[in-house]
Amino acid sequence: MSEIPQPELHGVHHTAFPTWKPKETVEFYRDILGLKVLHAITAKGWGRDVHPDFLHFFFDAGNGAAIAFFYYIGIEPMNDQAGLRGYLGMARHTSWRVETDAELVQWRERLVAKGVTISEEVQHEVIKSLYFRDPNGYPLEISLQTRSLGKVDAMDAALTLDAMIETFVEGDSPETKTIEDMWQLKGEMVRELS
Amino acid sequence: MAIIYVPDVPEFSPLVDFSERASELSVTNHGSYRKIEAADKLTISRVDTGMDPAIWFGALVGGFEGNIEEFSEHTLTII
Repeated sequence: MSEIPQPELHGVHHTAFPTWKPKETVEFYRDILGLKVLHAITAKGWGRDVHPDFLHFFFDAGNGAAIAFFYYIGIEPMNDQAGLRGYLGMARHTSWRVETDAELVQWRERLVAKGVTISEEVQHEVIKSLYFRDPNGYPLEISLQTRSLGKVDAMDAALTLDAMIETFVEGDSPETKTIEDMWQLKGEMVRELS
Repeated sequence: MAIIYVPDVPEFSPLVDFSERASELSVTNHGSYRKIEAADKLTISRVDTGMDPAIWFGALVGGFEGNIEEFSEHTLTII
């Protein structure tokens, strides 16, 4: 069998989210953040089943990427599908890239001036971030990469994922395992490295 | 014996620097990792390393040998 070629991806085209607050969403992304409106689709529902008519609109997030929203007409808001609180809600987030410390400062100043509640700046391992939410409750982040990732990072990450799968999926009684168990297994893996 | 393996990357260098200064700890190279070792108990204070919490709490990513006695915002102790 011939080998299947490995295609490439070239960054984000768009991510899309439902909104039940079309006015607030437009005002937030267009006016408060100041993102350019790129495109808007207005469509009669698609498909065989009942599918609401909708708008699908796109804001420029830079470097060819967009953040987009669907506004479905005439349906009750499903707020449990938008802007969840707690760690699950925070986990599904969008993080935009800035290139310099000065840009991160400018975003902080703009957001504060526009009345957006923002987090303290958080220094993570390889990024520095600001956090805030849009009117739908969707978590947003603006990140500055503080160093480029290299071979050590990729090699270590590959081992970590192996340790995760072995500990929490394929190991003995994975449902009882803890992160300490995973770190111990990772330690064994690293010890065996030459 | 307690050991932690620390990826040799800049954000974890404060942990390594602290360990190199600590008389009860030894630091050696182990491939792409720094191996921090204590004959008995390995104790590191976060404040003494100068590390921010978000990085501190990820400091065991390279794995360890021994058992964790404490891993809090203030202290990491492996026995």
